[in-house]
Amino acid sequence: MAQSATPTKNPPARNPFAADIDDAIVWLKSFIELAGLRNDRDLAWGLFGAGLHALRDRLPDAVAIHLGAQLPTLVRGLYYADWDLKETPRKERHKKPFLDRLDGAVVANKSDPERIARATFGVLRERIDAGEVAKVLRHLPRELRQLW
Amino acid sequence: MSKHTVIDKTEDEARLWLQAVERELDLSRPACFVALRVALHFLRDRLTEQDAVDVANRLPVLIRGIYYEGWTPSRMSKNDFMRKAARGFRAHAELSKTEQVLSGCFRAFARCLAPEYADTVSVMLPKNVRLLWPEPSPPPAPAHLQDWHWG
Repeated sequence: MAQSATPTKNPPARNPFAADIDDAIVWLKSFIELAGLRNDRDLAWGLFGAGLHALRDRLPDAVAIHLGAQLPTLVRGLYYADWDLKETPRKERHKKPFLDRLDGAVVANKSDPERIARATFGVLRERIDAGEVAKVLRHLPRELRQLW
Repeated sequence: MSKHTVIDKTEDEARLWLQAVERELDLSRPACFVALRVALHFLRDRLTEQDAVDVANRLPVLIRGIYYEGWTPSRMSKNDFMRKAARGFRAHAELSKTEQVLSGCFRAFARCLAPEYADTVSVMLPKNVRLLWPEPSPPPAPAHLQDWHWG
């Protein structure tokens, strides 16, 4: 007879992904609030992704990876989508060219890139350790730090 | 009734990967979930940074989040990882055959990826780990041989 599951301290959840989904929803709600969006999760997810990608691509690889480690699982999956190491890190020193990098959903929905960037960074500031935020900020030029 | 959002879709896609692992390993769901995580990290840590990122871009978003968990790019030796994997599997007696579990997961991954990309991954892997990845599918026979029946 095949053995049954070994008893562990935490009884197996029927849906092992449930906690990851819940964590991502908490982050997304925070983003929706800070960006002042309607409660449209699909749209918000795309906009949040655009904000995260612009930041990721502006950071040196090692710092981008360090930031990735601070995110909840599903948000991390969004953050790392379509990463191209050959194209990064980007070097924008000023707000305008940086904000121009927010593409995809931002462009498609004619959203204000500055509002999306500020909301994205606002979520990070709210939800990750202040020391980790400081590490990220050290690698950004002054004009981009002011978006935080 | 709430709408099926993009977040719900990420869960559906991830579940397909877990189910593929369950089919290959034929073990309990909690054991397969542990195996899925450890095998994703095993794959990631046996690739160059560039290839690890390339593979990640092919994964469904939630699976990609699991894949990148705790990533510090460094190519870990196979033996070091096997020891690490065995520790990760320790809580589940079902997962005692580390190498079998990893190769079962790799078969599941290869099935979930586009077939030609599964072959690309095989080439990215160092030789001693490639043995655990399913062999590339042979190219189709030339047209003039396709109707040939042996015996």
